[in-house]
Amino acid sequence: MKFNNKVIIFILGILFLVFIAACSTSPAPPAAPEQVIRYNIGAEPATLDPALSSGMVEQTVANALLEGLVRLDKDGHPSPGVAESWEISPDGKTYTFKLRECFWSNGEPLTADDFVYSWLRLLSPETASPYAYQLFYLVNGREYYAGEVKDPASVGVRAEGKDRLVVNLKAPVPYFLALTAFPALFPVPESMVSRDPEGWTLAPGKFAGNGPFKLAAWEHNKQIILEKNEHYWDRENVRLEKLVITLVSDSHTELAMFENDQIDIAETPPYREIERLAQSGQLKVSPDLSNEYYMFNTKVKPFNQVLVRKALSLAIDREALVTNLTKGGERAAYAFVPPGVEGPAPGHDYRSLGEKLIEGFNPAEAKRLLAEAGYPEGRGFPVIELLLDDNQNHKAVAEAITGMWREHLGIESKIVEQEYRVYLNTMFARDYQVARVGWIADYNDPMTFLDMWVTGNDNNLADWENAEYDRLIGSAAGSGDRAARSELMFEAEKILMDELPVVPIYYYTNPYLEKERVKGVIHPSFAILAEFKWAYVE
Amino acid sequence: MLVYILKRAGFNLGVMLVVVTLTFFLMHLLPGDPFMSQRLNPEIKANLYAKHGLDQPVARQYLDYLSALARFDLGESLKYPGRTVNEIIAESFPVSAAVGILALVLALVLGVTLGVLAGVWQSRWPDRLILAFSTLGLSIPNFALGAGLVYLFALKLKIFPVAMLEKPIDLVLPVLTLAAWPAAVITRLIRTEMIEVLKRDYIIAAMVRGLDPARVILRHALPNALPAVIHYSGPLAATLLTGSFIVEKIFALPGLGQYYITSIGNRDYNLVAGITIFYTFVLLVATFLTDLLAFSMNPQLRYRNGS
Amino acid sequence: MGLDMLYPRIVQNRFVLACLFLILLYILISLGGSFLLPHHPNAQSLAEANRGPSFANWLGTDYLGRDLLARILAGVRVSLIIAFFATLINITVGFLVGSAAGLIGGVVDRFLTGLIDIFWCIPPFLVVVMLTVVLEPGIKNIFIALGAVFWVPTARIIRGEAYQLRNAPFIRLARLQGAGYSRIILLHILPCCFPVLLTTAIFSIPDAILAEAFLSIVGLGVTAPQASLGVLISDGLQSFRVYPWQWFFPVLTLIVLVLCFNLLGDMLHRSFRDRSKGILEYD
Repeated sequence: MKFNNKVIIFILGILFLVFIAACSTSPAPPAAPEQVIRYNIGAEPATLDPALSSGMVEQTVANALLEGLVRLDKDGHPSPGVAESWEISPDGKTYTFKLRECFWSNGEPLTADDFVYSWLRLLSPETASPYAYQLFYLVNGREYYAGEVKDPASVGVRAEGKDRLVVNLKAPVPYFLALTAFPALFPVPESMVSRDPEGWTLAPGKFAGNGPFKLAAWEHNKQIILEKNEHYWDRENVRLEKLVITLVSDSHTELAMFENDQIDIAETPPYREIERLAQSGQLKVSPDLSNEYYMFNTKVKPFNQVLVRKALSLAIDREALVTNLTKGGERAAYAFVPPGVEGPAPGHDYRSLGEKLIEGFNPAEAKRLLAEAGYPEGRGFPVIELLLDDNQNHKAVAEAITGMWREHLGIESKIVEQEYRVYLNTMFARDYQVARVGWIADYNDPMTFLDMWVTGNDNNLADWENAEYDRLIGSAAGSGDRAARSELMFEAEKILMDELPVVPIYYYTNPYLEKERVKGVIHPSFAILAEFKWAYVE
Repeated sequence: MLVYILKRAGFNLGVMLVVVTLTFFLMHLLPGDPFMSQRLNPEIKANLYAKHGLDQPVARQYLDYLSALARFDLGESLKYPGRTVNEIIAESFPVSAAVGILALVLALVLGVTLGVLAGVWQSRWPDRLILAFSTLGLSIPNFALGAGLVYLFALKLKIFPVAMLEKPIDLVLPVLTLAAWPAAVITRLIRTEMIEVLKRDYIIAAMVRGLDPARVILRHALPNALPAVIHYSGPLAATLLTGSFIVEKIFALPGLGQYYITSIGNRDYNLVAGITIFYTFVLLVATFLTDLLAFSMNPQLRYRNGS
Repeated sequence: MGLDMLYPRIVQNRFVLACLFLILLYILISLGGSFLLPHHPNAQSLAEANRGPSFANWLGTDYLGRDLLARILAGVRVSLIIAFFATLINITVGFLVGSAAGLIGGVVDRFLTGLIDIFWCIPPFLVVVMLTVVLEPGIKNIFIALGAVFWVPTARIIRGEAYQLRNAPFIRLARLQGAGYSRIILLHILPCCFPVLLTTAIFSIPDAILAEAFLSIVGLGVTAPQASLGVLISDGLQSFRVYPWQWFFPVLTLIVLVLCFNLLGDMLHRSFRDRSKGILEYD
């Protein structure tokens, strides 16, 4: 057991030499092969199983590996995927899909039964999918999930032969066709899933997909490598040979890698660098179906008064926020539903019905309303507690807004920053006065922004109640006519913006960095971050 | 010796049990839960809870956890379905350990060398220079150093890549960032000890007798200055080997360190508990080994550390 | 046991003198800063956001157009408050636990040493992060969380000192005269451990400042609009390539502050070390 100091010095010396040797190994040649894109997605996906994931990162990778009945093209319109054609019944409740002959990446054929299996798996309580509710539109969908209906045959999805899939909905859902492009509704290979129900996406050997790419490697927290899938039905139109998805989470590291040519696309450029990147012409911006709003707990004094909520809204200078502070191409919001959501007809923007439902910055009017509410010059108004999650960008906006309230209304506020899950917990417990919230569309329809404000909805954290609003949203949800339901939803949104349980601040955009040689990458406005099927390198 | 090792192992097991218990209950005390989402659906949440056994009483979950732990099973991650905590640690620890060992060796080599030089030339200019550098090293936080190194060497001079671990050369910047602080500490430790030791009678006697000064310093003085560093390097090794959150984030290293913070944020109960247990284990082993090393170098210590 | 012996040493060493002077300056300015400067640290003006250093704003402005110098001074104050109280908890708890363990010995010692060992084995930042999440970030809770882990090494050191002192003649005498443990701890152990405690305290301040900065970067810093140095650095890090001064000045302040405390601690450590020989060699 006796160690001689010589031995120690010797060992240290050897280790030092090893270190020197390790450091001086010559770097590998950087020669980039032709059709390869390196894309930094910004986080390690929790899983690539479309039924088990709920984040955009997971869904983006799943979308490259798998394909649903349809695939959204660059304009966001459904284009044929596994289904080569489809028929919708006049009442809008029955969809019949004609599937093409296609294969999994392990060579097995893909049939209508695969869809039935996958959708039932999504709805099965054992799977406990966070996105199971995307199929609650099916006849007996919710009932099957809740265990009230045990017979899978009674759920509204069935195969007629190998190539016909029939779907029965409870009520007409105009966006259902586009919804079948949503990752949760992708087919999954039963032969692979049954072998390892949760881990089947973790390694190339366990995985099979039907998308444009197949899984070649997943090195956790480092990168996911995808290669072109030779069994994909539309392989002629896939030009990219290899897609390297890096999983770097620090946005500054990501930017540095982009500038150092280590990656071709950077998904989340640092917030405060955006202005510089925009000026140098490197920044690209795509539309995004998401908004930022401040929500009031309408059961708490003095925020139960509409006058107070209006005064606080009028004192916010939204244009100054987006031009001087956020600078990421955000647009000041004077209504709740962001632009770009499909409205009266496909390709017809819902916001074209009316852009401005609330009045803009008007400090004098704000003061007047506040006085009318019983707080002249802010006297007697309690200190506002503003709840935030621990995001620096949200903090900056909140500091600016509370500054405006102080300056124009004489109201002091206290910012309460909480770690993300604590913040959610506080909101769900209704233990807040005012909270900053952001909402991202689940599907391309105004309903995804509006149905949560119905009385008693699980996500109506403002506890706002309005019978007329409930009625309008209810009839819109039951209507299959796009134009009519858009009108109904617009009427409802007017009520929402008149009573202001939620004050819209701005609509987000999606800023990203992309090298000029990269072509054909689509940056959709919701659900997934980037679509690579048609991507190539020039 | 065997009795001592057994006793110590027993004590360490006890320590680990307490650590597990503390982490487990502290985690369950945190507000918010792993399946919290902005899109709340009570039915879906109830199902997820049932699936992971979180609907059971906490005491029951604790007992289940302990019985699995007895079989070295750290459970499944709640955030990453299909991956066990054992797998996650097995994948990420080697990366952190590789960076950590290099940083440890670098810190030891640099620290001991500079410390000896400073101690020998006490109060003269090399000493002042080294002291100034080491004090600066203590005062620069690693997030500042890391950002500075990336800016200078990767973006401006383009000598090293910005991030990602692909070739051995990619390790240089993270290792430097990680080693700076401990190197400064070790330099100062050794310097102080050397100054002490060099004043001792037997060193002066050896010098007076005309022995080669370099030999006196390396053979007689340094070994007496080392125990302090050896004791320090136990916990240091544990910290470096298990990874640093900041360094792994800046350099995008797929190591264990980043899970410390993210798994708490995700309320991934099993992952947090697993990482804590693993850290404690590494720390106890490292401390034990350095103690043995110190023992074998200095018989006087054998009795003082006996308890 | 007075500090008078330190006086010549401090004066001798101009470097340390400069450090002490800087620290006092920091404390004074950060306490009285809001009166001295034309800008309020929270006064914002979006139109003047992200301005570089100028005559009006010596160190420039931040993303909301607030004066960076005023922000830094306010930040130094917050950081110092956190560091001071974390250190206070550190040495109080560390001293009480350590001296009780060392002096009383037996079961108490074994229990307290076990406690120290257990805390030693939990990753410190894990505890700090969990505690700040449970308690919610804020000045008070940050220093509580930091104090909750900082005391462990202190207790270890003090236990060693107290253990050695346990059989010193003057302590034996006090015990023979019927003095209780608390009396011995306060009247005899405390003065003897004072040099060690003071050095530990001085070194613990920069540690706390750095730890707080780490917490801010992880997103668990003090809540807005208050800012600590850590919050300023982590804000500055967001834009350090576009508006480098927003990152550079807070970092520089932090490094200088930490450096001063480290140098001061060094000096104390050295002077006590030289002097302590005569006191501790009693047997």
